[in-house]
Amino acid sequence: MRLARLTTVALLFLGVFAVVAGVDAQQCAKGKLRFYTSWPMQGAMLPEGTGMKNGVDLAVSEVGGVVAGYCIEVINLDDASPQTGKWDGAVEAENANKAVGDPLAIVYIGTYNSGAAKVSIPITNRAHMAQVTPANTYPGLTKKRGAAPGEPEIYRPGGFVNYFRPIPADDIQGAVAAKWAKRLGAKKVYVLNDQELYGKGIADVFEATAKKIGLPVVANEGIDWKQPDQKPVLTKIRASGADLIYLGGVIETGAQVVIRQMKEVGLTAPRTRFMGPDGLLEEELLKGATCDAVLATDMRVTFAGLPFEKMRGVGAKTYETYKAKFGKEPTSYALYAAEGGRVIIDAIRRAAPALDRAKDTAEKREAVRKAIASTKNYEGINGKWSFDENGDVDYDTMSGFKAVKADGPIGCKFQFESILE
Amino acid sequence: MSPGARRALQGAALGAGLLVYPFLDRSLGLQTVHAVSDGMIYVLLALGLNIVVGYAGLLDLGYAAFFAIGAYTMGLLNSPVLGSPLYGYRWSFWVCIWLAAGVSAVLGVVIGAPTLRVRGDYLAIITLGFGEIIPVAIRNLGDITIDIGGWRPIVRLNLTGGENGVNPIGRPHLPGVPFETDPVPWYFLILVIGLASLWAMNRLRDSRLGRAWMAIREDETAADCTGVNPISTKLLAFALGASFSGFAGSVYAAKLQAITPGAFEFQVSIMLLCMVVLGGTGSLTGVILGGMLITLFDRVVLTETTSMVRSVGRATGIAALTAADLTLWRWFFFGLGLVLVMLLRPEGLAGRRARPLAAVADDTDDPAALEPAPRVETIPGWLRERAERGGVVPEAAPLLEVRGLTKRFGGVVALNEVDLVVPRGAVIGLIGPNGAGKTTFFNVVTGLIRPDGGRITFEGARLAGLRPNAIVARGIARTFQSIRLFPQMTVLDNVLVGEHCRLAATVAGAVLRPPAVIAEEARARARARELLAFVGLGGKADDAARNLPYGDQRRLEIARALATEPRLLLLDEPTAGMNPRETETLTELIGILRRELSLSVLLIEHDMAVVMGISDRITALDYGTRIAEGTPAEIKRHPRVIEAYLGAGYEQELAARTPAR
Amino acid sequence: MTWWEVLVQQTINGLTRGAVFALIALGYTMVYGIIELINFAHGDVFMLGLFVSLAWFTLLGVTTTLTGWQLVTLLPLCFALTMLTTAALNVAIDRVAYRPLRRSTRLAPLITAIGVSFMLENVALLWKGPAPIAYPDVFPSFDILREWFGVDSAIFVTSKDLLVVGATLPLMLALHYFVTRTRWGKAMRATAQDRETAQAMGIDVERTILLTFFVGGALAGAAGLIQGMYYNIGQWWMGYQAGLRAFTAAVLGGIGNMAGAALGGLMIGFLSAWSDQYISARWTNAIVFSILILVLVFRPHGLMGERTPDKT
Repeated sequence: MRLARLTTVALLFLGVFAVVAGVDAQQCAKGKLRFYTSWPMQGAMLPEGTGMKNGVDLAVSEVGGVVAGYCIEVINLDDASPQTGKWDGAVEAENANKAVGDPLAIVYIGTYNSGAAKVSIPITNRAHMAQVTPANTYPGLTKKRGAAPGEPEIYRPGGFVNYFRPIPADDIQGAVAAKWAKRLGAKKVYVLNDQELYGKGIADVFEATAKKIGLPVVANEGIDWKQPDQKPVLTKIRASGADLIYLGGVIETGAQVVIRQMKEVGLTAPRTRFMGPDGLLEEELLKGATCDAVLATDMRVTFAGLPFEKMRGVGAKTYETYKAKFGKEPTSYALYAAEGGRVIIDAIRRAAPALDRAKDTAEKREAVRKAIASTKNYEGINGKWSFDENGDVDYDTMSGFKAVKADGPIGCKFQFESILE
Repeated sequence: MSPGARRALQGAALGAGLLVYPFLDRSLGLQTVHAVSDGMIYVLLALGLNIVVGYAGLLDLGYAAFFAIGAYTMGLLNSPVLGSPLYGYRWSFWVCIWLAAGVSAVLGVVIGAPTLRVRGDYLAIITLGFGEIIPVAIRNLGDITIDIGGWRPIVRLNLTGGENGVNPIGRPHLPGVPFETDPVPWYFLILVIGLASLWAMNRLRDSRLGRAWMAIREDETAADCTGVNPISTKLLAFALGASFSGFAGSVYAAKLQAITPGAFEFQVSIMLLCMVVLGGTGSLTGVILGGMLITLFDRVVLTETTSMVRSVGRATGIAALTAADLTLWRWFFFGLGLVLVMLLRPEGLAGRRARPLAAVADDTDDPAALEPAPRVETIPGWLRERAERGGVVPEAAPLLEVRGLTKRFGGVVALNEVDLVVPRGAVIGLIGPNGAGKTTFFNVVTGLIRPDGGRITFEGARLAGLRPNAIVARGIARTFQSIRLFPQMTVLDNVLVGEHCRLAATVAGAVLRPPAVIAEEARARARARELLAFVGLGGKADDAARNLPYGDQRRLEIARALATEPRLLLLDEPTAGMNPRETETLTELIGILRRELSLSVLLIEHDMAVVMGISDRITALDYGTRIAEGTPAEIKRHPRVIEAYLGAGYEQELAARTPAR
Repeated sequence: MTWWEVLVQQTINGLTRGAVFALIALGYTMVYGIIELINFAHGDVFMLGLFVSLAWFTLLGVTTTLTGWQLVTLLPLCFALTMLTTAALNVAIDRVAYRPLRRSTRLAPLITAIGVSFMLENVALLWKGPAPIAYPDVFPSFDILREWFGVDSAIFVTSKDLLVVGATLPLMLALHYFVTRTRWGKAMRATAQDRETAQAMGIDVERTILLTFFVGGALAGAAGLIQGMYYNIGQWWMGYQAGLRAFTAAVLGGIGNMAGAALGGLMIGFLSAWSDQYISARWTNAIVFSILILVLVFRPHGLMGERTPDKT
């Protein structure tokens, strides 16, 4: 009796499963395609990681999870090491290998940290798998300007480009910052960097561009951001007579301390002003550095792309859709993740015939890769753009923001000041 | 099934599992081989750290520095970027791993040589400092500019790639085996390296060097006074540990293809330390177990528990639980683990229990428990040979001559111009009230303390400035007032440590075991057993030293001292805490040593019957000054001695006791 | 800015850094002097002092800059509360983690201390999150030379600098008085010199050790509060960084020697500031650790400590 009941339950279960699978199968008559994502999903990075995940989910849900008869499945991987809580090369390599080893995987969306991308791009490249990043801005991954020796060829062992980014690289941001500084009337710049990949990279580009356009740079010095006291360095800067400090860094690596202590050492406008990259464009920074100091140093920040309020068309709509769907403001790179997802889906649609014809996994991936590479005149969140031969976007719209007084709990905010070229 | 057969079967099953696993994983599509290979590299690192922490007892908090050195050596030699001047020639992976190990070993020696003489906890901080300096140096050396008031000889020189790191790094080449993205060849490569390392470490542990490490860990001073040079032995451990780390680092770099300085920071060092401490310092299986546990804990336990807690939260509607993320507690649990292990089970999960049992005086009257007294016939032949060969100096000259020895501790004069002569084949007694300076005298003669004045000559040569282990090699051995054995080592091993300074096996010899080394070990063991039989511990060779009753421990100490083939034996209160029967046995032993082997003995004793009975001459100290010297008869009557020490009623006491002869 | 103005300013910068290091170093040196333990967790007690002081300020309702009357009442109150909290924490740590290991080797309690350090750091991480916490501008900050003396100089001495000196000096003087004049202080010094004899003389050794942890913890808490008020920033891992520099200071001055700890703290403050100026901030950490290593290898008793022979 018991056995009979068990059997009935099992059969029912199987039946339901079959029906569901069948329904599913009808939708994805041609099978499944997997998108693998890889970025830190723990600790301090959890909000941004979730934001980017949401962006990809947004793009997928817009097409109902199906494109050209294939079902899309998104698999989110965490590339942070359990030991340290931040991105780890070994874990990133595992993720990339996992994706490459999965015959259903068609594209790799990642990474957040440029250092992690260095590990995974060669792996995906060898497998002809396209890699699209929502957040890497280190120039050397795609181009020569601002790159270390050997880059970017070392990321293309297959001899072709498989790495694409819908976000402008730092060499553009660093360069426009230097030009902007000159336009604002700076006569002598002291460049600081937090010695991390992003901060140092963009500071180096700033320095190189400044030299080229005839803006004197006193020095490009690395700070030890782990110390809460940067006064000695600032005293040094004061002694040098520089009238602009450019700090390549992010909010976690000491910018608040620098700005705050600038005021304490007398480095305020008009004697000395402050400028930084988009890693500093966060409200948290205003809170930490205090509005007093931020306003006193005439703090300015560059930003890759257009600010949310300036976006038109696709950009504005995506912003609203995100807010409606997830109930909060998109994080810094969430919309770029959505853009990346959309580009991939668009490419799959264009590559559908080649996909159908493909004999094995490598051919499928190659078809999608080629389609992504040939993205032209795409209507994106920052306007119309195409991928160039390096996998970079061909637009270089940059915005400049200035800290101004504002009503509200904090007392100041970042306000758009101008478009930068 | 016999235990041997069962173990063989277990081993075969384990081996089969290890071989089959990657193929099984591939067919099931589990994709865990990469993660497992990476974990194996960390276990390899932990095994290397085990040599330093577990075998030699040095707390190394900056082990990741050598990991970095190994990885960067491989990276810089094997990567086409950076315009490295070394990269004109295509270095092979197989050559680079040995180079990386070598560079790390050299760096280990460079760092260790000046620092290993420092105390244990200071050493830990020093290694921590190095662990911090290395990543900073790597980052900064990616962008070197020297600017001396305008003169810029070096501008933006890039030696290490800085924060950018080094990539790509060349892969190994093996005909027919592709070391590309397929994890299986890497798995087997690391497995082979791991097994080879385990084999080598096992060999090391059961060698002359392994015993020396254990002795230092148990009691460094006693090891020093038994002929083991603590500094060079520690340095060897440090360098070997460093080379393992460099080895593992180079494989890591080649596997990963891209290395950055952020992968080698303090947390990695501590993670490895956790593996060793939790698993069991000094135990190979323990370390592997610890490594597996920690990796498992990280990747599986925390994440699974988080899911469980979250589902409980969803079921019960408690918001705090649904948002819980136990992976954020990781370091809390590791810290807690360290604390609990230290408090409750400091030997780790798989280590041997470290609780020493107190030495118990054995006062049973059971004749069956009576140990056989040493007999002349049981004197080991080789010992007799050695003694008969005689020394370099003519028979008539004194063996040990001390003139004007002075030692001050702050304002206290512990030894005040003390003279003492030990002739060949004599037993000299050294007596005096507590605090008279007797043990200080021993400590100066054996090199533990540096004198402030005076001269010590042994067999015609000066002993000034020699380390204790060098003095042992010259031919002076000692025992301690409170017995200082190596409690966790076996009785036999204790004696074998004594032979350390008379053996010659090196690291290579320990691992490769050429016939010469095997023969040497066999000879050493045979000699050790003979010595044990001589002192009456024949049947207890494999007991743990701390399990011996008190009297036996004393005898073991003497056997260990004899193993160093001394010509002068310094005994510090050998009969302390012994019952009359044991005292008698010991006195007989000293007599045999002097008679049959012409061994000179310098004896500190409080038991007057023993001292008076066996000594040829006696020196008496009081407050660091020599107050009398002469035959026992003379000393007995010496007014100053009686006054300072013996008390007026001594002679009557002595008459009442039966002298043991 | 002339070269001497730079030197003066950097020296002032170093002084304020050094004062905080000195307070932390005192805790290290006191504990080491009495039980020969390198209290790895001490830096994290300092960090928690900052966090705890922030909590106390919030509890007391202080969110903006304190004014005259409040400065005299609320500020010392907060000091007292913070110091009591960290003192209690330090004592608890000793009780639970170090006391059972009094008789074991020197390395076992060091490993335990590392474990405790991680636990404290993780607690702070969970409490306030991974991002840097903004400490409110509790103490009024203005340039003294300008406001009080009307001097327009390139050198900046702010009211916060006065705070650091004004808080540290009395604490050190009080400590000195405590250690040299009171009965408890004498007990501490005796126990540090020779534990067995002190016990034989009737000193309750365990209670004295407890007291040492109490005082050391209180000083660390004060340092944390001062740090928060001066730099207005705190993060869960700052204890490790500051702790290593302060330990270097203690070693440099002579571990076990309190005057040495104070001196060492100031020296490390100066050296790090001058290194930032004349070499480069990115090398300063390496330089500080090199000093640590060199002192431990070549002169382990530091500048003011006594050469102690190794007990056989």
